[in-house]
Amino acid sequence: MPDITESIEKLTASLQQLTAESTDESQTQTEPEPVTLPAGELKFSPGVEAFVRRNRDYDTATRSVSVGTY
Amino acid sequence: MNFREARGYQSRWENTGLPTGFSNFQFVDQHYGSDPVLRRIFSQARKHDYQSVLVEEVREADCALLAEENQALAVRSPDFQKAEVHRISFFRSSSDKAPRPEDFLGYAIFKWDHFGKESKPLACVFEAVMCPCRGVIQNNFIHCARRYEVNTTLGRFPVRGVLYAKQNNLTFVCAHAALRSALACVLPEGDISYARMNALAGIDHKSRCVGPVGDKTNGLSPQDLEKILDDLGVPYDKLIHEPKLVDPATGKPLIFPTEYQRELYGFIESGGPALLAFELDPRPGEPGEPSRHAVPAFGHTFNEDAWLPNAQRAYFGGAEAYYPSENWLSNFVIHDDNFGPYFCLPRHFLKQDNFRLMYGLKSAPTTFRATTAEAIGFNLCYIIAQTYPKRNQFWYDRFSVFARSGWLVLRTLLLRRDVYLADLEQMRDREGASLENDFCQRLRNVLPAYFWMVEIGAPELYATTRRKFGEILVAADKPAPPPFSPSLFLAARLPGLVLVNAGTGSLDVGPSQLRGHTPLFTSAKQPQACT
Repeated sequence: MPDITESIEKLTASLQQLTAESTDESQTQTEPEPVTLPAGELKFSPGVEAFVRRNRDYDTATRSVSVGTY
Repeated sequence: MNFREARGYQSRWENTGLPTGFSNFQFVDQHYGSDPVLRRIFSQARKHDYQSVLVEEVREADCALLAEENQALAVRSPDFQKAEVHRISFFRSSSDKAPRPEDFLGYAIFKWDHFGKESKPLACVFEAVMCPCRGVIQNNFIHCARRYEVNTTLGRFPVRGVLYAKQNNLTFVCAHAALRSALACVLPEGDISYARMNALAGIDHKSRCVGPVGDKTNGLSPQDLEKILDDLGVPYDKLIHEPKLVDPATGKPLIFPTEYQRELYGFIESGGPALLAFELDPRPGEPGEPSRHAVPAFGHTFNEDAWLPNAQRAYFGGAEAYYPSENWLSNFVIHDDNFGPYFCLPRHFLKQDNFRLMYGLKSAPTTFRATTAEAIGFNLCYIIAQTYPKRNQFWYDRFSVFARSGWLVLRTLLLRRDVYLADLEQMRDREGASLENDFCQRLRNVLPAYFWMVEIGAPELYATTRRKFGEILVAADKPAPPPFSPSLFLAARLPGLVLVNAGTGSLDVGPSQLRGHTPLFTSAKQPQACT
């Protein structure tokens, strides 16, 4: 997780760059032709994979746990 | 025959407006033993500026449900003699004119159970459905409220709300009442009797009783609750937090790995209620484990100016590279059978330390929960933004920047295909552009009956104008990852760009004329009787 100041600066700089580019160039709509994206390129980042694995494993471990009364 | 349908015998229809001098306190003190739950219900009617109250007697001969409840009490307590029941209805109109359907604010069933000749009757609000006092315009959201009809001596009247129920601590306890409220939101018939729940859980009031038995008080176990849910065929997810227990496989304590509040929000935002159970603080001198309590949670409030989303990330170690929409939630809306209907439970009040158990009820079975779907959606947003970093389109490029900078807001809900497609077909951006028909048709062909929708926004879009860049659709019926299967990705709609996974091994990617931001999905578009 980047520092919040760094994160704000990154977002602000990116938006400023977008604004500058749209002012400099005429805002031409350069539509890409329809393309395909190999489904195999969809992969988990390590952080997301760890998160979903931890949730799944915990659910499996606690599925039959029955403790206390209400 | 339930209490809503049963014939009533009118005993009074009284004006209650403030100029009449009618006092809720005095009325409840004089006629209902100062019952605190009923006082709460009367206070809610007052908030609606009610003008009259109708009191009717309901007799056992006219109400099979009452006969069934009395029979259970007679088995449980041989000195049970009889029950008296009042159906109390609240109206916006005064008693000098016939009420219209929109004048009806709700009803409460008040029951006195008489035992022996000497003892004082046990009295409680058996059930109530009141119209919530706050609605969407006050940033209160209850997606799973139901419409009920009540057959009064003044006519049949509709009310939309979530059924409240209170334990009698003899034939049903807090878990019964909480589960009844939750099930009432999802069962086609809109309610369930305690007799049926007890039959499913194996409670016969002879060999197995709930409530006080000797020096112990018996309740329902998670296994009992699951038996009821399984036998009714209601899909649910179970969440457990038992830090004093150890998983024998890993040797680690059973500590729920994420914040339970995020999971609860996921159920509620998907239109489902949840049963939320927790451990009470130990009482000094009380032997054994602290008591536990269960409440139904079914709604939430929203604070568009919440400080938490930014502060959590900036100051308190938030680790996510996006904002979960749950960050803007202020309260959960719950009933508590001890106190009455429609209380706000502040998001940070009931700590993880006290949380023990949750059953989130769902409209369809899913192989993983909203939090996992959201993580998948976040991952996919990032991949798309990396693959198509800039398209020279104002809103797409901002989506891409927010995604790559870790500033997206994500909101995840379980949706039915026809509901999503209906929303999509009427969706317009601020320029009036809509999605191409052929994209809608392709989605109709590839989408399963239910799936996760991860809505994608930016903080100012989401919280202020309730709008979004688009959404990612994630399969809800594929095996829980990891490993990641491309079949988890169904489709994505972003400003000016659509992606569909037709299952051919590659995603079809194409432009769209819908290039602006669009409204968030809301089930509140359905008419609300009381808001």
